[in-house]
Amino acid sequence: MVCSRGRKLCDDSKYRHADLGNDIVLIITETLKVNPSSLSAGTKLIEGGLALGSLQLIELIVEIERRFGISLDGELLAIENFNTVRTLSDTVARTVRAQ
Amino acid sequence: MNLTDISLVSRSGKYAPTIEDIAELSEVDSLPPGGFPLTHRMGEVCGMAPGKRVLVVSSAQGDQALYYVENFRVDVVGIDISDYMIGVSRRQAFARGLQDRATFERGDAQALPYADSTFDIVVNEGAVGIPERPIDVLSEMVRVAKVGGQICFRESIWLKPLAAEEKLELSEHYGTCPLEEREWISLIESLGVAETVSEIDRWSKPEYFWEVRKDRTVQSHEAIYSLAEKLKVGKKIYQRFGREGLEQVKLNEAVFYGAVRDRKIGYGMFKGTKIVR
Repeated sequence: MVCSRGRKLCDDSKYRHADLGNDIVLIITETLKVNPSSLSAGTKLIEGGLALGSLQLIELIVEIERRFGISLDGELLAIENFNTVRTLSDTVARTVRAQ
Repeated sequence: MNLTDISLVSRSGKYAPTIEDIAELSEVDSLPPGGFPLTHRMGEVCGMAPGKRVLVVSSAQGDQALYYVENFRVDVVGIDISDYMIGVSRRQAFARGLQDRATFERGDAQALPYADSTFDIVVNEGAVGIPERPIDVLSEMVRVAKVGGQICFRESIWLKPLAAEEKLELSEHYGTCPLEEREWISLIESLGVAETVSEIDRWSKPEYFWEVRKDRTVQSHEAIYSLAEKLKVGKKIYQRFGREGLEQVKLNEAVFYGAVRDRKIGYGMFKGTKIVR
């Protein structure tokens, strides 16, 4: 289930990190038209793996911001946060908690 | 050459965000094409020396103005339309201990807030062609220079003859209006400037269009901005222009840097002496 209702759903105590990771995978597949079977937590997003370009990354960031009701700015846009599906999920989880 | 023959184009903004728009939106402290080597050359040909009073028009983040102070020991005033740029410039001047010799003020390049014949040298580094009528900027630069003073600017040029339609298209992608070398010279000479010199070939090498970072060397136009910087500016573009804006940026870059590699668009420096009041 995608976090389509934004923070309300994310704030639900039953909403766990694993759910968030699944949501990230779903957002990637929907936004970038990627085959879900090709994605795992360790899938690299930039170098190797999906080899996303800057345009695709921007689309992904904007969609994540919209669905989770967060803002990814400044240091959160550091490349290491986008290395893999897992690092992206961790970044979003930290940001959801902080914001 | 008659001024009415000059190929000024009227841009519609149909390809926004342009190359110039991206440079501004990025807020990255980049330099105009030619970087500091061309800044240094401008200081040399203008005869910058201790005691000379220099005006830098459209001084952006103050890099060139401070370069002149540090390398030629002149006294500099920088003027820019952006409060943000003025703030950055003043902080840079203080950080480098140059605040007594470099002042920065907000103002319009097309209506400079200075009396006639105020400065020994007036320079503009890459912002003459951004307004629709570059002659409005140049005439103000000439007005505030002393008789016998130097007017110097660096700007984009058409390196080869192109049809008017192609010039307009390229200008729309670029976001500024190049002129042919002889057109730039005719413009400043029409304003009472003589002994005009220009340098084109040296500064029209494609690499000068992307070696514009202060913090590192750049090997291609794709590497001007880091990925993190691309994401930051890309978000701004997406929010302002939508996905179409991001696609437009890719197209603008392909067209513009293609024209640079094809030697259609180049870059040059122009300098002349004010001879009339």
